[in-house]
Amino acid sequence: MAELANIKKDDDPMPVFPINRGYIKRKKFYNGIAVFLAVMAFIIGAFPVFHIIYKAVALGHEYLNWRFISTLPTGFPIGAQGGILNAIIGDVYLVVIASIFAVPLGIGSGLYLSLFGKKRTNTFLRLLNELMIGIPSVVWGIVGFYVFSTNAGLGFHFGFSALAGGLTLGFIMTPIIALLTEQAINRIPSGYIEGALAMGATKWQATKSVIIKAALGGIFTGILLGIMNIIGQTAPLLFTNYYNTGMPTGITGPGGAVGDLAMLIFIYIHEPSKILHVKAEAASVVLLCFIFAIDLGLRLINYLTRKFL
Amino acid sequence: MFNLKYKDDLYKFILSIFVLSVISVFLIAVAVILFYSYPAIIRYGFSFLWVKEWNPPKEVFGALTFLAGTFMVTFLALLFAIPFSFGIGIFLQEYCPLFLRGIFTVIIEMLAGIPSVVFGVWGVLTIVPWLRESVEPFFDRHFSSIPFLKVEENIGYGILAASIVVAFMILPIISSITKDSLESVPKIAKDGALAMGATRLDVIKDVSLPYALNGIYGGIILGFGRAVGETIAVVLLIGNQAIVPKSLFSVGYTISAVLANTFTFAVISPIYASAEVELALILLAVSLIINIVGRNILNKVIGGRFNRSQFGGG
Amino acid sequence: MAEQDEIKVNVKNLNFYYGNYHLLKNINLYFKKNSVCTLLGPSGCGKSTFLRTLNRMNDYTEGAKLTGEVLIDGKNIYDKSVDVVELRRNIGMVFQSPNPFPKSIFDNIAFGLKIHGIKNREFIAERVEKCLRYAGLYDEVKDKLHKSAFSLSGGQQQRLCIARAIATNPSILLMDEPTAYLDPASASIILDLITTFKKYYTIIIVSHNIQQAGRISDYSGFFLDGELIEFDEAGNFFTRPKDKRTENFITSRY
Repeated sequence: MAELANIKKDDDPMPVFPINRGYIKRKKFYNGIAVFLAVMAFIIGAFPVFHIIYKAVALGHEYLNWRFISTLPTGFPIGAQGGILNAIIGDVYLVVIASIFAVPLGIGSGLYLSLFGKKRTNTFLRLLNELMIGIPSVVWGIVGFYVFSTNAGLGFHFGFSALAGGLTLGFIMTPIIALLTEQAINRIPSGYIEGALAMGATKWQATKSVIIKAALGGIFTGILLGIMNIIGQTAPLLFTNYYNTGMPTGITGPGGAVGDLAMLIFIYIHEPSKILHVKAEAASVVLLCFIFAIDLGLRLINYLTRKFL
Repeated sequence: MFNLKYKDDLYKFILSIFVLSVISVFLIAVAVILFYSYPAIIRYGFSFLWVKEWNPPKEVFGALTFLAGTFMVTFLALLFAIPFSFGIGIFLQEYCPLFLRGIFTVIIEMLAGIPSVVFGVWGVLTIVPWLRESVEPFFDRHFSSIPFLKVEENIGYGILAASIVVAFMILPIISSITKDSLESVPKIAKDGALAMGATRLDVIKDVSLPYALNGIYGGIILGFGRAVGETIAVVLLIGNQAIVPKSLFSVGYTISAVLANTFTFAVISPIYASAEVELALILLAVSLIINIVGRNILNKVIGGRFNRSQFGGG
Repeated sequence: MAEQDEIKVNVKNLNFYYGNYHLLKNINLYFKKNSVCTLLGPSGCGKSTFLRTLNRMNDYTEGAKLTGEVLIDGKNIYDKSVDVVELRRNIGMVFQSPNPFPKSIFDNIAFGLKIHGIKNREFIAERVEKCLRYAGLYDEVKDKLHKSAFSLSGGQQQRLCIARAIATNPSILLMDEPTAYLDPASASIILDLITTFKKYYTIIIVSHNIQQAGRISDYSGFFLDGELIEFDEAGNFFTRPKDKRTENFITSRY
């Protein structure tokens, strides 16, 4: 064998080189510095999470009671007295409307991709969803304005209203649900679905009996992530719903606008009023509570799915 | 038999309507922005991009001021966020003890879940006073001769305040993608280096980073996309004055902030509205390009796995 | 018992725990200088874990606990005074599948020298060539030393990893199923290499291939469920195993 001949030719042993202890010591020192810097980066990065919560609670704690949540804002400037009930009710309106639009669309398109989609359609739609997620929310706001709110030209002429705001938020929510549904279905072991189909089930039966059950955790994750995202949105609502200090009388046209927590915070912090700033922080605590509660739900679903499926 | 097939055809038909609706949401968004910006594009052409003056009553619209502000905030935010994200990703994946990695990752993901407006309020009540009372006086005393570090008005609001807060907002995106990219480095390759007597730092430098670098670029690109479009926190912090910022401490204006502040008034005049939609078109185009490039890179490196830190709180 | 100065690695009462699992149960054996020793056993029997205790690669496994001693040249490597970097310099390791670094062929081998503080370029170039010659790879790659290591075939990559492992003057080579993912021709080249390497190194190989093990071993050991069932000279081990379980394992695969 050629290789063996080569080896035998080089019989002389390799020269030994000395151990450079100083160098190794220096290297360990550098590694220590790297650890220190990485830890510092993490501490500084994690700092706002705690400081934001701390600051909001420290400033807003006196309003963190049931009355604040259960009464409408009153007084002058509006909100100086009373609570944030308008915003909480408004958020419910917006989330419900957005979900009615986005949940069927997102799940439907996710199902199509994994049941009927060809590879190229899938790649294309996936990219499309990712692009939609990347579009800045203020741009969605302008789109929503021209599609739903404007009273001139083409569009639905809903005015500044819960329906216009909710559907715009639905636009933002749809790609999130679609992506996560597709991901959840793709994660089902392929034997499951093919097994059902091989037994003569139609794809509709396979969906009912296998897919929905196996992908339920992932689909719920998508919906909750979507809700978590839209209840924090402010920019899209600026041009589609704005704000209402009272209760809505409908969901379109005059009186159709609703309050919204993120919007309330945004408006209060703009006012040159100390009390409104404090209330903005108290409202921030409420908003963060909603978001972290959803977050907790998400993690619970993830945990349960991993454990039982 | 016919019946079964017929049912599946119906099912497919219904689902394809959903798919077409999703596609049409995207097309509507692009079409609306193009349609309403068209008058301004025709009227102002490319001069829109380099004219400084933005004067609605005189119908003179140039976006240079806002482009400059957007660029500065984005650039500075990335400058602040990249080294920290890098450190966080490396910390979580390479140095952090296993039993703490889960909880620490959750903390960074929580940062991603905090809404933009809450960040903005935090900036107004924490970062702005800190800049006004500590940082700006310090720079004013020691660096006032350097134009880029000159403190013009000691108010705390401005480019720097906005950049710091936006940096925190894009931190989770970049650091979680850095972490995922490092996670995708084959363990056996790292073991090979360790078995030769390499330190952790050697392994990171010579094995992990070369593998993970593309993914990290992808993360930076996505972070860039997020920073460019960030609106509410910036509106609250940047000072909202249409001047081209010359210093780190100047006030300024970004495209997104102009839209948030003035679009509702602009719709009264068609050409004013059109100019504003053209601003949105710039944001849209940048975000589409950025995401096509960034996703392509990420799909190759971490298989398009979707990380939840990539959806922000708006 | 062999002469003391003939023993290179001496393992005494080694126990290894991971969480609640007792992975290695009271292992006692020694490896002689300049011998080839193969460790056999079904997968999951602890033989790879054992190999990794010899160069302290399990240091990074959280929740792992080790008791007992591993003496190399008479010194316990788990002693507090031992520097892991120096220890590993003395022990080359080759893994199951080829794992070259994302660098050029040249830099793959130079890496080991650089991390130990060698900056002299001539020395590095000379050493790279020598290692490649030892691994029988030089003639195949001499014209593309600065191309990526991933451009090589699987068998060549594995020989590159061997060349890389010997660059730092080790006296021991650990190999974890080095031919597992190679085609028979490439595997055969590696086995020949191992036989010639005997005169420079003490070689400890984890293997699942009884035939290959029989071809190259001086000593063999059989692991089952974390216990060392039998350890003997290869001649005895493969023809007259003392333990029934060893015999079953060997015969069922022959």
